[in-house]
Amino acid sequence: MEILYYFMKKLKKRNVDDAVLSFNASNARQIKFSDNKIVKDAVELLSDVGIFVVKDKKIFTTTYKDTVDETGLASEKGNFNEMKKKEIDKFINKIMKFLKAIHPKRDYFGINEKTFKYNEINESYDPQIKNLDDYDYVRRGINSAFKEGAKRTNGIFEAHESKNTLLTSSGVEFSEKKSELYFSMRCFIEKDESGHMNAVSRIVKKLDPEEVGAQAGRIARDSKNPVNGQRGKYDIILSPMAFAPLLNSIGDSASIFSVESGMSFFSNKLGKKIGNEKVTIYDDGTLANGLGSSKADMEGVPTRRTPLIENGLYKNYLYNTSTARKHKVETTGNAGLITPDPWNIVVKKGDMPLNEMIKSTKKGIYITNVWYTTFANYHTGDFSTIPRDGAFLIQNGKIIKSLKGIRISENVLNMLKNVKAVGNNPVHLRTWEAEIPVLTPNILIRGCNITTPTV
Amino acid sequence: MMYKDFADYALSILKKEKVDYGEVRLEETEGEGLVLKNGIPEVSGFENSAGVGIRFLVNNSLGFASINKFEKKKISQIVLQAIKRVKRARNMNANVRLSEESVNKKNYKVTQKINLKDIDPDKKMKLLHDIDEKIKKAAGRYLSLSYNLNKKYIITTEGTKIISEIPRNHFTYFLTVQSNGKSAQKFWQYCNAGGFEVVNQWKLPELMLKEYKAMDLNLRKAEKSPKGKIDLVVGPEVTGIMVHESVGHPFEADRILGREAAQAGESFVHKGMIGEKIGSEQVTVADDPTLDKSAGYYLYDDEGVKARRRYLIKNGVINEFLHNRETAFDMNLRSNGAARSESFDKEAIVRMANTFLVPGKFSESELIKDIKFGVYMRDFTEWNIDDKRFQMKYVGSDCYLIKNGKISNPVLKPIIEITTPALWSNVDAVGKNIEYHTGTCGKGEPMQGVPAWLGGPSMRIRNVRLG
Repeated sequence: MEILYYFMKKLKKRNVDDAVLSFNASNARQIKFSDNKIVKDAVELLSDVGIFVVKDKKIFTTTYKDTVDETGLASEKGNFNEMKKKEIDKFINKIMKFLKAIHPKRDYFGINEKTFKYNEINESYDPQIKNLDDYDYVRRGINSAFKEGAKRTNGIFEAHESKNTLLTSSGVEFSEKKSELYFSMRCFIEKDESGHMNAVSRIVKKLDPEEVGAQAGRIARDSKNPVNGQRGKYDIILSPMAFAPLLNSIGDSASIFSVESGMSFFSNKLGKKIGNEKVTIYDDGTLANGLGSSKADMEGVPTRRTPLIENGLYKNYLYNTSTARKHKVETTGNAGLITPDPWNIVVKKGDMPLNEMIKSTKKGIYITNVWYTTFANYHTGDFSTIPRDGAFLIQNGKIIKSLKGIRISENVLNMLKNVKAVGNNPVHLRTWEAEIPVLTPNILIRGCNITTPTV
Repeated sequence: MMYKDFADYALSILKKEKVDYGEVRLEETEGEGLVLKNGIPEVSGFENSAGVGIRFLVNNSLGFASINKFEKKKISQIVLQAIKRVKRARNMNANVRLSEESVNKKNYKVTQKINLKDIDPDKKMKLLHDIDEKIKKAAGRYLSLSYNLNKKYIITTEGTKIISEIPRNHFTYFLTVQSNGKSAQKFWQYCNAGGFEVVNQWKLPELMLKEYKAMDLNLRKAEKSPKGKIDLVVGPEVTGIMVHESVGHPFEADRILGREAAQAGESFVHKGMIGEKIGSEQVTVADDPTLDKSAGYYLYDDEGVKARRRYLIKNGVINEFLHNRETAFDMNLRSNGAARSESFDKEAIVRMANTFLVPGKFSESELIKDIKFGVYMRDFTEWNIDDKRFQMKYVGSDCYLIKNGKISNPVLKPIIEITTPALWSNVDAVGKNIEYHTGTCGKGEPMQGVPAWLGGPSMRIRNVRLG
């Protein structure tokens, strides 16, 4: 902590208007496996101080990496000596020189000035993460997939632990510890037969590697002998893995930064009906066991649950203090060091189990995963994405075959309007394409456009 | 380099522990970046970072450790922890071996005619304002200019020692243009290795005005795109992305061998396909890290192997894959120097550097002149390809009808969805107007984004279906 106090004292002496210092220290372990064998075992020990400084509306950020023995926790003292202080003095001189040469952001309106008492996030840190037998997790996952018929398993197991401390020029100071487990497994049987499942948790007891392996294995087994799909309109059921990348686009689009930059399909949608009334989606920084949850945002405002879409109505953009003042609203407690960002995107659960979704579908496709989601236009929401792993054709309420070679070519707002049912089985996820953590069930959407290669 | 002693120390531990192979990669990076959004400066900043990545083989098992705390005690602890873990997992480990390679010692750097550190942020912001002034009518204007200077020190237990210094300039824009109640967007980036002179050479204000005008014209004048079987000419931006996605990626040997199957995916290409025909005679595709001033420039890869040009497809025939030492051993070859890593804390994996369609002999107008009715697709917006790199989609942006051998009216968003062999087999003529564009190529888990050039000239694709 000494390093942060020293930085802040020196920055204040130079009469900066606002400053946020964020100390981050993390250690992580990662096992990568391919074809049922471990191909890499990695460990990592990283730390830095994120620095945000404003003077005369000129906004500057950097990171300071040479943190020596500091841990960032007020209770743990580091090896902070005179030599270090001289280095920091030099670094601050460099910051001040840079600040002189940059231009003001005319629409900057300051950081949070209040101090708060923070509520702890439930299930956010588990000391047991240190003592896990990582290899046993991987072994159990692989064996469980084998039991379902998988021949080749590939994936990643990760365990992270981090300590973060925030200090602002307004006097906000808080620390928190976080833990995180991530397990991702993709199984293969024969050519084009595959299944993929991820699981995340901040506490040990809520991550079950056997369940991950079993689910990935089952999808691979069910995807037997896939045939090329046909173009046309289909009702689609998106599993949580398949819905997660779209939910990330929804989360990104909700940030006022995206709205101002033309990167949001929620521009001019405030208060308007944009989706079916079954659709309710929140950003939630307080979510128990949510990978993105945090006590407070990067200016010390307590996090909260902010409705983005409530019963189909678009309700809120996500703000930090400066953008909220600009738009004459309250901050939503979503400050990142630079822009407002979502914490966890949560879909309010419905009441329809997967088997009923399938039963209620005349002509549809159950999609278990997608890949390479790109937008033609973020403003309109036109995009496409490619189903991969198990994708199953449904006719008259029954799965009749496994498909390959299809693409969803759609518009996010159309899809939100056409939601027919929301599942009752939400799961926490983060995926390769969905870095913002989500909590979502399956979702059934009517009349989606499926395309295929024409040559 | 400032922390060289710590890298040497890390290697000494690996030697002391008698690992079968050890490699230490120290990276020290500095940089600067500025953003202008809709005419208003956003955040600016500089970067100063350093760290060390340590990779080793023990009993044919691969371990990796990364750290940015430069304390000998901490470095020793993490290396020993990594070795202990790898030994413990012996019965689950893959049999990782590396190809035999020559020991290299080299010190090289990319020269800067105008030193990046001599250019004041104020001057760069003025450049962004100049660009913004030209495209002020665009509804959304996000402009970012940055550079990073990456110094690397790679040492191995075999005796290789490579020191390099590569400065890279980046310009990224995201443009939203609205007209007639419609909108169009383009995200694009430029990257060259070198000093600030390369930014001057981009002539950004003129370039951006051209882009804005093309988007505006398309919104105001474009007709519906024709559908069905048609002859298509694509410009260098489209050729570049097609080459990158459907040739570069599926030719990465680690995909072919399945190591990236969980996330980045596998490949429709398998190891027995060397010598098989995949495209027409006109199609020759190369990947070359040694292209002067390129985004993906390096002379030695992150395993210290000398870089060289790789011909992936020669006259339509599969010629060579991209390899690091691990995949080269598996295929009984020598590495062709394709190991790259995003930063010190990530392992080097098989990556493209600068992938391009080798130019042919035709001018663009010659490609167009004997098409009776077709479409010219200069650039694109949305695109994707499946994770085996077999079926892909490109949505055109600045596109025109071709009528009786001449460019005619703009057309709205023609869409091509096609398989890789169908695409390259239908190319019947290749232009000579090569351009290199930039992409940040994503692969690996954790995701690693590395700068790459995606290049080529215009090319003509006969008889494809627009959907």
